[in-house]
Parts: sequence; structure tokens; C-alpha cells
Amino acid sequence: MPSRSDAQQRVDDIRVFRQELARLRDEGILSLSKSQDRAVTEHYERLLTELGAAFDVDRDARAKQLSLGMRIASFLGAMALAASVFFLFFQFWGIFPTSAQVIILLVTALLSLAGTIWVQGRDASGYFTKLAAMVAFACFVLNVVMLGRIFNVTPSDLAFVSWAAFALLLAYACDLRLLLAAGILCIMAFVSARVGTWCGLYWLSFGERPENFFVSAVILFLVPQLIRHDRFSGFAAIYRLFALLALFLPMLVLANWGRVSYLDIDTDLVEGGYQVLGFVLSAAFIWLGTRRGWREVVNTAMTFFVIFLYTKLFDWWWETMPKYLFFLILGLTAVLFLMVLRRLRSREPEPLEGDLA
Amino acid sequence: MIGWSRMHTLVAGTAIVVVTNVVALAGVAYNRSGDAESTLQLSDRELREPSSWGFESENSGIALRMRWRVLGKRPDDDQASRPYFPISSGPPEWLNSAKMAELGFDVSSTDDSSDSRSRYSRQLPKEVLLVLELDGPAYHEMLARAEAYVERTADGRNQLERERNENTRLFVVDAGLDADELRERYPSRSRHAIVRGTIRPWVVWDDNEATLAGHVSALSVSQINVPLAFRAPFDRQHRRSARTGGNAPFTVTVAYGRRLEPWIVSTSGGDGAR
Repeated sequence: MPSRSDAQQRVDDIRVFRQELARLRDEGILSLSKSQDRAVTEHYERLLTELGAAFDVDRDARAKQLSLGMRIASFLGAMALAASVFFLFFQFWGIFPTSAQVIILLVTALLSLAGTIWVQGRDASGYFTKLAAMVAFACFVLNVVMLGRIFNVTPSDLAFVSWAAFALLLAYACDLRLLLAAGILCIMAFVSARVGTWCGLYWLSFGERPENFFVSAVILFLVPQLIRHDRFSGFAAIYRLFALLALFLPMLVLANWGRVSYLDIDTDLVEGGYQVLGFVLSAAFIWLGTRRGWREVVNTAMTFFVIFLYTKLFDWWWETMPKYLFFLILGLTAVLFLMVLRRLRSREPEPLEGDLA
Repeated sequence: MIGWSRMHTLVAGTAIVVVTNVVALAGVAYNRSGDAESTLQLSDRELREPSSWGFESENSGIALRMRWRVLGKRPDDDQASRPYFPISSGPPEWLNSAKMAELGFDVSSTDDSSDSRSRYSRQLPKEVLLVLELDGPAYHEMLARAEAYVERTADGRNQLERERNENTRLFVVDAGLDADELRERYPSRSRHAIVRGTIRPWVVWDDNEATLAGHVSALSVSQINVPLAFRAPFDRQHRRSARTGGNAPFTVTVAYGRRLEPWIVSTSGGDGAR
């Protein structure tokens, strides 16, 4: 059974094929016989109807535009509903005895999970499933947080394991990228906290040593390499995106504030080292992303390359240089960057089929 | 995921939720099983009620925040004019470089260079065991200092009154890594509680002389939830009406269990004990 993304891809292919066929006919290069034309039209109409009924796919450009609006609305709605669940519980939990509080938290988490599964069975579009899944995730997060608060439990990083498992389950079962992102963030928090603990610090301080995030960056980058994600649209890209964020954001911090590094060497050396590493790795990922057709890798690495470059230029010249000259140099570096990218583009033809999965 | 149905998702999700809850509640049950590790009778001097503004104004639950202090170094005679600080009298004397080494901090850089001091203070906090002392020698020493300060300066009578009647009597007096060892050193379970908390390295400057020391940054559980059964003394309406006639003191008996996590055993206030 194809996934929704497979179905949408097929619909897009059909639309492009029909447009191209019409062009070929208008230019007199290819013309189908009436019976062939009818057979193709009937076949595609039947296929589109089936796919539309099964997956609520966008059949034309207008529908696609509306879908984007629906995606944004469902994302904002999901966040708002999750916040609403938190505040609803806060408003009333104090009036219940402890046993009732625990039962309410547990039942709410289970009911919202069951609700998500029920909605999924009736929602071909996936938008309402996303709303329900986000509420279920919020209920489970609330469940664990409030248990800790009700019973004065010492904070533990193990909570992130449960949240990650729950978010990833919903993400994979319902094909939801928002929940995948939530699960990945929980994994990042847990792995970084554990690395910090192994290095001898209190787990809640893991953010104070940005290097703690590097291990999670490696793990996240390897996941789509080791586990195929063909059936899940955009999942592999999200893993790679978060891997690069977990790599470059800490590196950017360390390149400017070497004092927060684990490295017990001169701060200037730490900052310089991470600046060089930032340039080298972002350039390497631009190359790798171009080679493998990973658009998100190219874009993210390119963004960080520019940030590394501009922060360095700012450090060197902002104080000493006339502003017109400073911005002129920034502009010229952008031109140089464009030229390099154009060369890269002409050398590396994009694969015919995007390798997002 | 061949053959993965919605029922599988439901079962797996239910398992995650149930197992998480069971593990959390089992931990709570274990903490509260057997005799309490310690039991402290705290008052409104040691516990602060939550504020009622911002998001808290919509929070129907009540969690009491613990108020604790540390006793800093006693001022030398030639520092008689040094003011008396009721809340923080500087870093605790016991949290010196030897204690920091015992807690696992690197104090090996003994030279007095700014680099070595910076290397020391760059170390991040560690979670250790702290000893909380209620109305013990640390508090009485603080009270004595306040009295001496009033005598010396003929000033600060209000501060002395606050020290006698309002300021918290709960002090962090020691830290360690072994609960049994600490309990041996502080056997009174109604005066000393062993709790988890974090300590951060701190370089202390005193008369242009730097010393490697530590700073108690937080208790791991700094708020104690008040269950519905014990809420009467904290009812906002009651507190407001009580305030008009003066203060509205309350007493809360807090027990610490095997995992050194607290819970309320009883409360008493204007309306009588629960």
C-alpha cells in the first residue's frame, strides 16, 4: 500500500505528464490517437479518483496552495490545543485529591491516544490526525511532568526517553513530521544530558557545554543512513536537518564563546578551532548534500557557512572599517559565493528522482 | 512497517504510557515505604507560598517553595563594621577547596594565577547530597551575629526582630556523596534532612585574596506540592482574612523518604491541624 506522499508524488507526476503531453501535441511532435487519448484520460481519472478518496491528495496547483494553508493552520492549531490542555489542567487540578489527579492524568493520556487512532482512521488528509496526535503528546508530557510535581520527584532525564518513544510512535504510525521533530528534540535532550552526566556534570546543565550535542548530531545523521525511510515523506530530511542543527548551532556558540567548551586550552584557540571546523564542515556538507541530492543539507550547511563567514568578517572589520566598505565586502562575498555555487551546480547535475528518502 | 495496524499503535502507545506511569509511581511508593529518612517540622519561615500573579494566578494547585540559607564566614574582629546580611552571609565556610575536592571537583590548580582560577570556576555544577539543618547551631550562630551587629552598631533592630521571628531557620550545613556517612555525622532525623542539591565552584575574594570555594546553587526538589487534604491553612481566602488580623502562621511536617524526596505528612494553621 503506498503512503500519502507516494500518492501525492504520483498525482504530481500525472499532472506534469499531462502538461508536457499537451505541449508536445501543440508543437506537433507527438499526438495520440483518439482511442489512446481516451484510454489514458480514463485511466488517469480513475487513478486520481482512487488516490483522492484514499489519501485526500492535492489534484491541482490550487489545491496544493490551499493545502499549504491547511498545513500551517493545523500546525498552529496543534500547538494552541497542546497549550490549552496544559492550562486547562492547571486551572482545575488543585481541586482534586491526589488519587483523582493521577487517574485524570493517566486516563487523559490514554484517551487522547485512542482519540488520535480513531481520528486517523477517518481522516485521509492527515491534518486532523496531526492536531489529535499533538494533543495526545501534550497530554503525555503533562502526565509525566505533573506526576513529578504532585509527588515532588527529583527531575530525571529519563522522562525524555518516554516522550521520545511516544512521539516517534505517533510520528511513524500516523506519518507526522511534527511529531517526528518533537521526538527528535527529546532524543537530542536525552543524549546530550547523558553525555553531560558522563562528563561529570549535573544533567540539567547539559546546555552549558554545547559539545554535549555533537553525539546526538552524529546519531541523528546516521539514522536515515541505516534505516530506510522510503515510506515516510520527508522523515529522512528532518533527521538530517536536526543533525546539522545539533552540529552547527553548538559550533557557532563555541566559535564565539570558547569559554563554554570542554577543552581545557586557551579560549582563543578553542574559538579559532571551532571557526575553522565550522567553515570546513559546512563546506563539506554543501558538497555532500549536492552529491546526494539532499536539499535540506545543502540549504542548512550553506546558511551556517554564511553565518560563520559574516560573524568572522564582523569580528575582523566592523570596528576598524568604514561601514560602506564593510557592506561592500559583504556584498562581494555574496557574489563570490553565488559564482562558486553556480560552478557547483553546473558540475553536479541533480538526480532525476529526488533522493529525499 | 509491514502489517502495522492502528491496533498495534494503540497497544504500543498504551504500553508506553502505562509503563512510564507505573515506573514513576513505583519510585514514589519506594520513596515513601518504611520509616521516613527524616521528618522536619517547617513553618511559614521556611516555606513560601506561591505568588498569585502571571501564570500562577491560573494555577489551582499549591506548591510551597523551600527557603534555606547558608552560614558564611564569621567576620573577624577588625571587620566589626561589616554589615550583617540576613539572607546571604557569603559562601559557607565548610564548602572550602578540600570539601570541593571531596565532592569530585578538580581543585588541582593550586597556583594563584587568573588562568587557574578561571579554569576552576569554569567547572559546571554537580548534584550532591546536602544536609539541611532546622533551627540548629547554624541558625543560632546567625542569631548571635545579628545580636552582635545590633550591639556594635546600635542599628538594625528591625533586622534582629526579623531574624528572631521571620527569617528561615533552615540552613545547608554540609554536603557529601554518601548518605549513610552524612547520617552518621548528623544523627538527628528531626533536625537534619539529607536532600539532593547542586553545588557550583566559586572563587571567593576576601581582602584581595582569592580562595577556591563552592556555592550551593539549588535544591533538586525546591518545591513541595500541597495535596488537597492538607490545603486548609493555605486557602487564599483564609490567608487574606487572617492577614488582616496579623500574620497567619502555619506549620508543615515534611518527611523525606528513601529517595530523599519530600512529601507533606501534616499541616496546621489558623483552622487547626489536619
